[in-house]
Amino acid sequence: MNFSDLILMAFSNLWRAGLRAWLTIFAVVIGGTLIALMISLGTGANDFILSQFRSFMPVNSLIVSTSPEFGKSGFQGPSLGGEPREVKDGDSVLGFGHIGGQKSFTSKDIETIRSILHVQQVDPTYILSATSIRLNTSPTRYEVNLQCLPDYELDIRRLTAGTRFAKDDVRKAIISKQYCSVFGFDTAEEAIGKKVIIEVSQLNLFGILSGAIPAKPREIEFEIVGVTERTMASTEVIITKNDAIEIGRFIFNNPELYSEIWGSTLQVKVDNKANISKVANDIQDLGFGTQTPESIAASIQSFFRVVQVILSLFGAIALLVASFGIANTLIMSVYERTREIGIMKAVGATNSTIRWLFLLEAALIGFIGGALGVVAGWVLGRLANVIAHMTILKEYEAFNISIFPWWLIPLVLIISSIVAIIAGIIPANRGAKLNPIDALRYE
Amino acid sequence: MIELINVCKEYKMGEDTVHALRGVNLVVNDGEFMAVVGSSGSGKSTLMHIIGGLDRPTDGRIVVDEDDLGAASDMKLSKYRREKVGFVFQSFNLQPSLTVLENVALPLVFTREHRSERKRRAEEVLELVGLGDRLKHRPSELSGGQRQRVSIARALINNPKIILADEPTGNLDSKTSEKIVDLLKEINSIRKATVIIVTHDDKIASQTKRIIHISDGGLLN
Ligand SMILES: Nc1ncnc2c1ncn2[C@@H]1O[C@H](COP(=O)(O)OP(=O)(O)OP(=O)(O)O)[C@@H](O)[C@H]1O
Ligand SMILES: [Mg+2]
Repeated sequence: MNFSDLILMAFSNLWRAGLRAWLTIFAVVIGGTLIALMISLGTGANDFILSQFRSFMPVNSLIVSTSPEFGKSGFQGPSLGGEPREVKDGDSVLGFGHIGGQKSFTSKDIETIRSILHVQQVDPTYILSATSIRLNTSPTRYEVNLQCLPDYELDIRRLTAGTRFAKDDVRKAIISKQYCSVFGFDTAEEAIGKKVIIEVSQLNLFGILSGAIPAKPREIEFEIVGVTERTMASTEVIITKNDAIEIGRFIFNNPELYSEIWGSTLQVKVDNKANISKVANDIQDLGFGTQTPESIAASIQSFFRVVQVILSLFGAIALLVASFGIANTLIMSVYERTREIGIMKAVGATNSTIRWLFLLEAALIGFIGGALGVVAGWVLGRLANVIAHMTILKEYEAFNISIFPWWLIPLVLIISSIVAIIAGIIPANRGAKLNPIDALRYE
Repeated sequence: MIELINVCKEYKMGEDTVHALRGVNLVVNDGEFMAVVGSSGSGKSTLMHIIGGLDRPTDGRIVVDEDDLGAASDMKLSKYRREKVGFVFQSFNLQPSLTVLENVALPLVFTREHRSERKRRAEEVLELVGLGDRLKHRPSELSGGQRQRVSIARALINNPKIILADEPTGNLDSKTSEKIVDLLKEINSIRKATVIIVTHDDKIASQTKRIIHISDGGLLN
């Protein structure tokens, strides 16, 4: 029997079942919709987080730590929701930090790393724990995440207003868009040229040990020269290298910082993204730990993979329920078509032809249900995007809460068809095994 | 040639065993025109099912053109039915959802025949049985005699060597019955097909060249 005839016959049988077929298909549609929607939401969230992350970390750089274990366990932030990690000697104890008893890079280490093939630039990662930021005209203080970035990293920050730093700038700052509203600016342009006061206080970490009394907090005035586009880094304030060195030395009360000792993490720029892993290996051979943008991105992505799988389980459960409906519908239809099956066998249909006829009918139910589910999932995803852009993603026009990758279409179609075919096995075998004589005698 | 050697067919009904056929020996030569007569429940339909490869004997052998049907696989039996046998049933057994043309072409759907060729041959046999003008009708729109012609056309479409008609006139009036028998007679003489008709009607039986009597699952001589 030709495959096209088989399909045609299965299709017309399904068509004849009318409402019953549509009700069965509808159950599959729900499963398909859920799978499509959940995966598209997961993809949207993944893309959002990844692109946020990529806007912070240049793709051709890597982070190096004096701790060889650094980067081994993926994301190095504080334990998020998990059990607190054990601290061993030489571990970084302050999340990303490098203070305490953490070993620092020496100038010689930096020279060695700089001499590695493909390495273009080595910068310290400045730890600038500022206490607050305020407008010089107002006493209201806000939290702040003070940063000093290598020039090439600053280049990938997008500005909505103002400019990047000029060479040798001091007391200049680039603030994040979110500050504009709390500072009372109507537009980002309005912020340019205004002055902010940033307060930094000395850490008494060494003070306690040495018995020295920490110096009084300092208030430093900066001129706003730029405003970054709205990202998730809502409290980021970027300052120049000159100021960062000065503030760093004050905070740690260590005049040798960034001349003799360089902190426990460095940011290394590589000439080409393709050479990152090679450079990372070379640095690891020196006994240091590394973390590449790819390794961080990979751990973010694997997290969202898990989220997607969990979300799509809802759809899988719906499909499982639908599969019982399919089996039931087809068993009914074998029963109804007993005589028809008998006739087909009498005129020469093989058992396997009959089996295929029912399996294909099941597959059609799955395929049509999956196709409608994909369409419904896509429509709902678009709807979610529209709603999100009016609410939670108001400021992030470039982002979508639901992203519909092309592979979602074949994925849903294949899953729903396979589930349906599996559901069709029992009815199909029943039909195939019908004794033609009994079937013909059947009234 | 169809050869039945000591064919038995038993049906187990719980404790009881129904002996539908008890050791039937029969040879039917190619091109014979034959009637099978006997009372109700004597085993006529069972005999036809076994000759037509729809059922297997529980004992004995049925050999058609050197193929032992009792030992054949399901696949081979299907192929045998598809290529060598045409069935005509008392209750027509047409698919109500298909048109006359589609019903007749159905056996060819299970071969690798091309669609246009199927249509052409279905039209040809429908022309032969005198229904060339009813191709698009549904079986429900036809009279009993016309329906039986459709089912004869369907039995003919594979150009089978053997036509098995189980009480083909059982649901028809005597005038229509005569025409159906004439048609079967014609098929036998023109197409050289072996035709076996099961009937209760002596008038019909007398038109064939050979009559076998069956009683309680055995042949009477
Ligand atoms: N599937 C079956 N299960 C049990 N018994 C059966 C079955 N098929 C047939 N029989 C029995 O086998 C015997 C022969 O039946 P068969 O249908 O061959 O008779 P028949 O000669 O065709 O009768 P009729 O003229 O009424 O059609 C009967 O006693 C019948 O009850
Ligand atoms: Mg009978």
